[in-house]
Amino acid sequence: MAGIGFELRRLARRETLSSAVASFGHAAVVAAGPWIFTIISLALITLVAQPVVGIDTLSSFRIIVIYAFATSLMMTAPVTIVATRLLADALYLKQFERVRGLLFASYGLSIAAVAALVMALALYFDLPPRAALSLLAMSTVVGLIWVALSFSGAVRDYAGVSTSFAVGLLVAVLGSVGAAVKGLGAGGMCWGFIAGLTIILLGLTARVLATFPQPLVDPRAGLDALIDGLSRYRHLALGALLGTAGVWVDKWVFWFSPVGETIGGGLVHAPLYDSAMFIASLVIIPSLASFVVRLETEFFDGYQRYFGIVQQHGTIRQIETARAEMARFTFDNLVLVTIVQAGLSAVVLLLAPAIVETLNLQFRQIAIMRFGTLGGVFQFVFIAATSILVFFDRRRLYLLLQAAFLALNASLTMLTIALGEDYYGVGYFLACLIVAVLSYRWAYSTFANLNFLTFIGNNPTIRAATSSASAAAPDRALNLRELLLGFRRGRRRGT
Amino acid sequence: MTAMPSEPGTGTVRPSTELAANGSAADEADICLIVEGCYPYVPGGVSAWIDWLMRTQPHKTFSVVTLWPRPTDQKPRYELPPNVVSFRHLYLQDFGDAPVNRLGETFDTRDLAEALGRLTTEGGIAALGDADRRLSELRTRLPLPVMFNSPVAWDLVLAMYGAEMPHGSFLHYFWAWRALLGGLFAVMEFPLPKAAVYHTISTGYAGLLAARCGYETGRPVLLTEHGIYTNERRIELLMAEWVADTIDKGHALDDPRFDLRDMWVRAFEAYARTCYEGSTQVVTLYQDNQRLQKALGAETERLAVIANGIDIGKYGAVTPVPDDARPTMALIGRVVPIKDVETFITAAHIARERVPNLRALILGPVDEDIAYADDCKRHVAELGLDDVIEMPGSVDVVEYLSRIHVCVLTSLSESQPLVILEAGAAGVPFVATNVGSCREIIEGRAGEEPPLGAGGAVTDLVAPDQIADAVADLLLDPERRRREGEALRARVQRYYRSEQAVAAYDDLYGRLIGMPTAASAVERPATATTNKAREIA
Repeated sequence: MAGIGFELRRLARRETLSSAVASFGHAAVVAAGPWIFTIISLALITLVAQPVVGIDTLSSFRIIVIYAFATSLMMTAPVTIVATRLLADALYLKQFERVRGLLFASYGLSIAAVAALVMALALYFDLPPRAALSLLAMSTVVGLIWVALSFSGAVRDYAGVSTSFAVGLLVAVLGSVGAAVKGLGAGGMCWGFIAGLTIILLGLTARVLATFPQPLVDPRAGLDALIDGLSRYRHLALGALLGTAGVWVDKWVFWFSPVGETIGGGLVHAPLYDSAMFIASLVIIPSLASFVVRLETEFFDGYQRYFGIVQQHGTIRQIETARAEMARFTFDNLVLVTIVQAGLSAVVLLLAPAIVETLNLQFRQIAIMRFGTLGGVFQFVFIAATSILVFFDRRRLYLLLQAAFLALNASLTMLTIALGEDYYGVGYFLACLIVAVLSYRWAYSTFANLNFLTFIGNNPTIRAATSSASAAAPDRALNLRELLLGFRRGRRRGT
Repeated sequence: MTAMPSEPGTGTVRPSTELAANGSAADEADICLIVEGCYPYVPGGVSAWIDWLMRTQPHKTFSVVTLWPRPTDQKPRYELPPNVVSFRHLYLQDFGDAPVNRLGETFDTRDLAEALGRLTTEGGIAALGDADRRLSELRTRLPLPVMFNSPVAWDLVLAMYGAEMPHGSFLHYFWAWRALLGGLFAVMEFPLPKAAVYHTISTGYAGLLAARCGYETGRPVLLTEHGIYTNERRIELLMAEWVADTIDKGHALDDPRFDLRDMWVRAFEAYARTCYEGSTQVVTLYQDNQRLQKALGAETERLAVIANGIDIGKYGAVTPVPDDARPTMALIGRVVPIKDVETFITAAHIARERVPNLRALILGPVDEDIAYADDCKRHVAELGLDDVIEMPGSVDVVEYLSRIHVCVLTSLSESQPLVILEAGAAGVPFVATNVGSCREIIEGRAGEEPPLGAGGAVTDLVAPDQIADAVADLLLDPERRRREGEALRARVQRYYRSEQAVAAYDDLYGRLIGMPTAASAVERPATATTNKAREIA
């Protein structure tokens, strides 16, 4: 008469709330960070190579780099974000032997995804084989760098990352500039650049392999785990895909609009819009860096303290105090950094004409740069707020916001193109503004309701128990049927 | 007592109506049996008793509600008798729909929290009625399965935690609260089967459902307790190391704070109180149980004893063992720790000193707890009892009774062991530990008229010396052995015949079915949930 006794015992084992999520959260920042690197490397090459080669060669080279970064970032984002999550789980469970399998599986899937898109683009633009080959090679290597970067980030190997990038970037710049000097043209510059990227990739990979010396035993297991993870964390994967597409979509809209130009092997771009926006997006780097550092240190401490108090049987008053402290710290910090960013952006806004003049840009790019700079403030808020959502495992909201950003950035940019040149950049600005407000509001309510979400709303144990209702229904029917069959059989025997 | 069910398979959710085996769930029965964690999936004990009860009342119709934590993948061990008109499961755990983070409107949960707090800490029909009414009000605006994983539930848990153990681990409280209240809501949501009498076989959640049935329909409630549920749960909780002591109570006896164990025990006691108060008649197998029932508020005038009986005809023909046969003591029972077979072995070792050529039989399956059975065999070997103790496994008890001089029961816990009745019916005297109704059967109830005399001896628990002495006394004194065997036989024939139990329940059921319906306390408003439940039904 004691079924409930077993229930009591089960409860004791149910204490693991989403603690594994803790080690994962900062990966969201890694996922948002790389596109900044795109801008830095492009700016560097442009600065160093411009005096040496003609503007045409430079443009042909630059567009390959832009395409390589855009395609690789977008196609690897789902793999990267999911692999990082699985890596965090493996590290939390101390299953280090899984790391290499996961890394190589991520490499494999990334190569396949990037290659598929590049080949589609090559066919669509009817690229010459040489250009297609260098685009394919560069996209693949850059894609693998994103993957390796997220693995290095998840193990907090920032020294290794910095060294690899410093050396690789140096080789890349020297290689491409050297090729230019030798008169090898855009193609030569590309391969010189790829050489540098390859050094980064090898450096990062070596660091990860050195950190996890456990040999790869079963290559299939890593791939299976990753594919399973992609389906389990499909909201994250899709959100990352849409989010990276969202960062690029205003450029793509311009490329394919009448403003776009065809150069090199037939690829399109819109230098009028692109260069202004690229420079504008550099403005938020200091805030992002500062936020990331805070997230990694103070926020993460508060986050661990909160879940620690929950797990260590704190009273609700203690839990609530930890929640309030974490919330206050996070939002104080976010508001502070946003204000500093707004000030910095205001300065850039005022200095826009001078910047345009210094960089030899066109006068009509001033307005675009100003809207880009303004939008950047809100994009920073968006990135920060969605990172918080991922930290607290609100995966659906994350997906919803990224999809909204993509849709808004695309549609509003189209609208501004239709409205005329005065409005270029307004679409991006408005899209950032709207999603910044939405994501801030949701991040805020996530913090406000964090106790409820932790215990009920977002509790994986409760979610699993309630979602199994429909899944287990056939079992129950079977059970009942067996019951009836058993009785009938028994009755037949009895009579 | 019943074997505990093995952990049921994980799976679904929610209380649900299910198709009746022999009819539709809406069929009205004379008696609705409410059972927790046994029938028809766990063999023996209470399940066997329920099967016996329904088969010996063939002219009455039954519906059965069986309570489980979640759907079980165990196979049913009993065929439903033809007089069962409906058979349904009520699942206590995993109550609730997928979490909802926001509700369109706000709810004031203070009164509900207070009512639920009272029901789970004090109990009683008034508290049940209050909670029932407030849940019905809430249900018109918000289905309970949605509520349970929504901010309303969060408000409830915060309010109740604040009132009950604001200094305890919130994590522990939260899960305990969910288990307790999830079960409570599952019981409160369950669509009531129609019946003239509601008969629960324990307190706990089954008793709570029965109390609700009585309260809402105005029909009488009957409780038959085999063991004392509250007591069994308390022992289980005391032995459970996994319930962390979340508060260091030190030695302060009047510390008002308490931990999780107290919360569970208090809730089960509150449910028991509710059931006792709501029951027209509280039946148990033996008088000693009434002490505990009274302690939890059962009124003396509602208490009754209906002992289990046996078919004595089978045993009357057993030929007594000859005096000059090898002196034989026997333990008839499963070789499991609760039977304390090791004490029996030690007792045999001691008795051998006084009784030459002693034989000791252990008659029962050895495969239920193989590790324990191995311990017992090792114990036998260590004491050099290989030529004394025989363990032939499961045997035909009737046949073996004609080879036994004295039967022994060394159990640590029993309710009303049938084996004493069986031995008694065959005229074999009995030595048993003082558990359950052993003393009542062997020595007679208080005020037995006429006094029939002792049918053997009662000893303390884990007391091999006492057992050895009592057994040796009987083995060495054929006259006394015959006298006490006959006394036990007389008592069994007088008080423990199966027909008597059948007649008692026939009579009791008849009386309760004939009772007028009390003014129904509630009209439950029709809601989305209950309508849905009806459709399924």
